[in-house]
Amino acid sequence: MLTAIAFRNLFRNRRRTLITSMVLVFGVVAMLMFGGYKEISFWGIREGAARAQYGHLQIYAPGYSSDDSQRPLARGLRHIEGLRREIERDPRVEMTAEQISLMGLVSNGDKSEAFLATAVEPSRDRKMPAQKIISGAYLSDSARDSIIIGDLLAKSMRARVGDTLTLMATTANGSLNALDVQVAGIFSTGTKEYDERAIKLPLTAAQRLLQTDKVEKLLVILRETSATDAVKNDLASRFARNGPRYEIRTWMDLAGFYRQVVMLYNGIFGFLGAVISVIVILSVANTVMMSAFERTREIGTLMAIGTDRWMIRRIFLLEGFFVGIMGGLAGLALGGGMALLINHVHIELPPPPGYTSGYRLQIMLNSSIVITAFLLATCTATLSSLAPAWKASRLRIVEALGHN
Amino acid sequence: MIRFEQIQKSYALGKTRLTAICDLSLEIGEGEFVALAGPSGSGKTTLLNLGGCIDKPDAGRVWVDGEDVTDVPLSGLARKRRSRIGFVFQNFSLIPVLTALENVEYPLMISGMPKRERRQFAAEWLDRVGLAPHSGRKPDQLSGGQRQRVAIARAMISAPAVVIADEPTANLDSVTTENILDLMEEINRETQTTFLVATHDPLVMGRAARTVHMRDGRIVHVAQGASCAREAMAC
Repeated sequence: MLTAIAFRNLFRNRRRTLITSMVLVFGVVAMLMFGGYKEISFWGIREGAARAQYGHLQIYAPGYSSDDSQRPLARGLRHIEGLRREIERDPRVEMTAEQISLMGLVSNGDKSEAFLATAVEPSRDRKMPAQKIISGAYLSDSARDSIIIGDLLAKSMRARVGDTLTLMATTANGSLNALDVQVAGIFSTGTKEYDERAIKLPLTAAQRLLQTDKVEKLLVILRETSATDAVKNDLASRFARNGPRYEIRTWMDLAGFYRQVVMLYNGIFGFLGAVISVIVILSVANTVMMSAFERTREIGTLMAIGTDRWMIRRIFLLEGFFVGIMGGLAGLALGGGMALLINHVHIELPPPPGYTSGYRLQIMLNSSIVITAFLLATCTATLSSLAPAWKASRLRIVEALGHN
Repeated sequence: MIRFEQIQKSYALGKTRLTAICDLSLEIGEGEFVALAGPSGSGKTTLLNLGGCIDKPDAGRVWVDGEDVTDVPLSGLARKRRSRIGFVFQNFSLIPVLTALENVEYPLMISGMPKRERRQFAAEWLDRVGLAPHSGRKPDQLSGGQRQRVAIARAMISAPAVVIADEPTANLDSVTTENILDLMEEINRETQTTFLVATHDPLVMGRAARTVHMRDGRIVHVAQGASCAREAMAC
């Protein structure tokens, strides 16, 4: 019956309960929106890093990380077809791809610029869409000496599709080599610093430029990002057992940007959550305090007829709890509706610092965000009732009965 | 049943203290119907509060239902109030969000009685006070007399040893007052429950076996039986 009293008390002053619930609704909606935005951002950066940039895992030759010879591919991988087949037999693995990273100078005869290139297997890299082709076409396995080039680098070089450029780089032996290549396409990733220097070329072209038959690393793309650590551990155990001891890095080891974003967003989210909690606590506490004040005589009566202090506290705590439940549920309904609407109407956000293109605002809600928002609303509303509940239970019966 | 022995009680009023009861001794026997009469500020309500175990004397001792409750903290007396004392207030003091039946049932609920059992008791008491057809109504859907009947049923449902009633007829018309007094008298007679009633109402004094007249925190006169009403009228 104490539960019934608490619940029915909410409807004695409907307007006040509604206003308090609105504060909770605001809090829950804010948490859903920011939590959903955070989630889609993490997901986008995580999947982008793992699927389009680094692969979920990168396998290097033994001793790669401790090599200080300053020569490209001094510690490269060679004859790893057997290793690739074995890795690709794992049902958790989607594919593998060989890559080389290199740097050098690109020249059109009049002008030279430094470049950072990624040498890829075109048919495999096509499945890792890190860039958007804005002119021309992507690399093909048949056109061996073609490249695609970042739009800002192309602009700087005044290069167009079909133009011939010369790539110069230090070979694996330490000498200088050059290779004439044709611009097959111009791309953009949206990241200014990258697009000012980036080139992609077929692996075979890079190996001729560097005069080597090695590759730098083998990327492993998984079907599920969540399997990264498990696959890494399995591979590490296998390498430790049968050798050679290849080095393995995960996308998380390489994606420093992701870790920074996670830390930043978690900090902002935590702060926002704290602010919302304080607003909710003060608002609900104020409501319950006013309600307790108005019902002083009633509390006196309840205590006079034998209701003990704990029961009085329970009534007020339950009132806070019910307000939390109602506000929380209404907040979830409104927040869920807003998330659907936002995802439906395609709101474009301006480019972040360092990027050249904007992105679409999306909200990704999952059970963790929904449960956290709901629990926070319910718990803060209940906790807010602690002080008024305590105060009400400490009233002197005689004074409470005489209260007008 | 209730014994007050050399009671002193005063309240702070700003920087001064107001004496509410001064060196008062009174004994009320089991099953007695006693009225406390006197002008406002004479100490009636203070004496009721002490007898109802919701306040403490500054000096003197109070026995209720055979127990010296003087040194027991008020919080420790909740159980006694729940099971041995019934309260009827001037303004009815029902819980507005509960129905008549739930209001009557409430004291048994906080005593931990199972729902089915306490519902049955409450229904019986509502029937006894003539409100069975209104059991599902909330207090604001009842008249003043009906509310006071619910309050009496609530006070009686725990089969208390004593009922403390503070001006129970003050907000009622004379016909309703007579009805309520009939009910209280009947309960007093049949259950031998002690009634201690503070009142200004001669009708109440007329029903009391004894009327204790108070002034300035002291007993000034005690009238027995039918003389109560006449003396009250004379006052």
